[in-house]
Amino acid sequence: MNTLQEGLHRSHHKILIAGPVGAGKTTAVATLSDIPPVRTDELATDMTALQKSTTTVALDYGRIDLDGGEHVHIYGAPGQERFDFMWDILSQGSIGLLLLVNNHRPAPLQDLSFFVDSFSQRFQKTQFAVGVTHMDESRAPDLDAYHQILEKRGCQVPVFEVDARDRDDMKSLLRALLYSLDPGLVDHG
Amino acid sequence: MDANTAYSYEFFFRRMGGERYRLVPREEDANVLLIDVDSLEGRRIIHQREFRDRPGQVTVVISANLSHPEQLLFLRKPSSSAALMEVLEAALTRLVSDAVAGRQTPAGSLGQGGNSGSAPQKERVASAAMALEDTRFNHYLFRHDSNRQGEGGTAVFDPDLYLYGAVSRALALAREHRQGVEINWELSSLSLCGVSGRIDSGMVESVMRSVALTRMKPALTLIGEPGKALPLARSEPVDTVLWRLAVWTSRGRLPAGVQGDARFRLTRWPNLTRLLPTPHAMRISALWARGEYGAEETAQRLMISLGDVYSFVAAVQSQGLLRVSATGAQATAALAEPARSGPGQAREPATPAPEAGANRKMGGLLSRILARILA
Repeated sequence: MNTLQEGLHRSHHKILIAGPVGAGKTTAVATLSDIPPVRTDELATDMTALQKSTTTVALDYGRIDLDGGEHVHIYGAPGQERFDFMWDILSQGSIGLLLLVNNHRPAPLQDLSFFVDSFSQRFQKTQFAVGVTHMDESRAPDLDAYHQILEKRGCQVPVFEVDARDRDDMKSLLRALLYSLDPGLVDHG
Repeated sequence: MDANTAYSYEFFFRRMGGERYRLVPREEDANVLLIDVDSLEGRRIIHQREFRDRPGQVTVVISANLSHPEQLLFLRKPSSSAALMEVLEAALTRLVSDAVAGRQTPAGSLGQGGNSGSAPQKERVASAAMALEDTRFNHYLFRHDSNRQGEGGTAVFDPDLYLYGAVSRALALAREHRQGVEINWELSSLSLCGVSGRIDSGMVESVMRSVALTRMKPALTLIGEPGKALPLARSEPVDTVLWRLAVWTSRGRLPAGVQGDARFRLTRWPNLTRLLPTPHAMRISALWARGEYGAEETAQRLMISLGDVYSFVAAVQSQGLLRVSATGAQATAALAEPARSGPGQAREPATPAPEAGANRKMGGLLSRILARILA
């Protein structure tokens, strides 16, 4: 059994990273993972080729190793909606969702709406956090616009500007998700 | 504990403690454990100990917050040497009482008579103390003078007496006229663009931090043409500057006009990856995003100092992200918003508090993930 199969087999402690193509999901998994991430990229053959040269068609897998030999599995979900069957599989039993949105895409707020609506049946309103990437390339829309979209859906969740390559950014987003799940969380042990 | 703190304790024990105390590196070897519960490490230890003394060991909780486990000895910060001495003596008395009652003390610990508990006071040597300080924020968050307090004993500051208030007023003026605003005072000036919402301070951070603490009454002057952006060479978003100024000016005090017994709720999470971190901002954000809480209640729930809560109030108020409810009056009002106004301010009623320990297993898992990513 390889690392990925082992992860899927023992997937009761898992965090899902989702978002549109090019949002930085693959990078975010690699940034957070304690092991070299397992990638299932293949050459893109459709419109997504315009966004990036390779795209995730199955999933990305990484792992956070906890004391005592336990692991938290990190899955990067494929961005294209045609693979939404994977979203169901990956969402089951997830601790929470990190939703990444690329602010440099043509309609990032529509992307946000689409993914929030898609995952609203799979996650509770306190069970996700939003990371907005590529804000260095495009400042608009600003984070207020993201909050407005979320508030219309009754969600008051963390929305942070992040660089998926930056470990501190991704750790902050994950911390915000954990505190959202339990604000009284003790910082250690 | 850093070397300087350790040396200070050693010196303190020699001079004030009459050689009856010594510092030990391992907490399990100590008779008296000093725990600063305003620090991450301190909270971890106190949780591990389930807020109780262990056999043969007396715990002294040190905090700026008045709330503390009742069964433990407590020392409030800022504390004098005399107060520290007093609490150590109280700890020794408790240790002796426990020993007489037959409870064990750690190996080689209480006096030359070992565990007898009958040693005279001059022979008692408490292999004392472990102290934990949260130094992360000390470089800019040194505390206010606690002698200067507002009504009801709550420490307050008036933003209008500082650069923070001037920048807030300048921003409102710039937005109203869609023009630049220059902020002038005796030593320097700042330019703020009403179109781009950026500010050119021309100051390095350490200078701005000092200026933030200086009382001033600057003049505000409209500059530039309406609707035309100012060329701001070294500019940055005014929101991030306001946040920093609010934190530096607050130093653990509430902004004037906010009552100490008010209840708070966040309208939105602040962008905490790009704003100067205030102590425990993320935990307070998570709590206040869920419901409405008073400052003291927040400090107690999260086991943090009241000053950290007040600093956070000042910071989020600077961004217009705070909803404040006056207790008793039942009336709610959004705070005056210096940074921006926007839709989405209407909130549903406060949600019930999250149930502590509702899912211990999940809580344990989340804590371990948190510990891992903080490591």
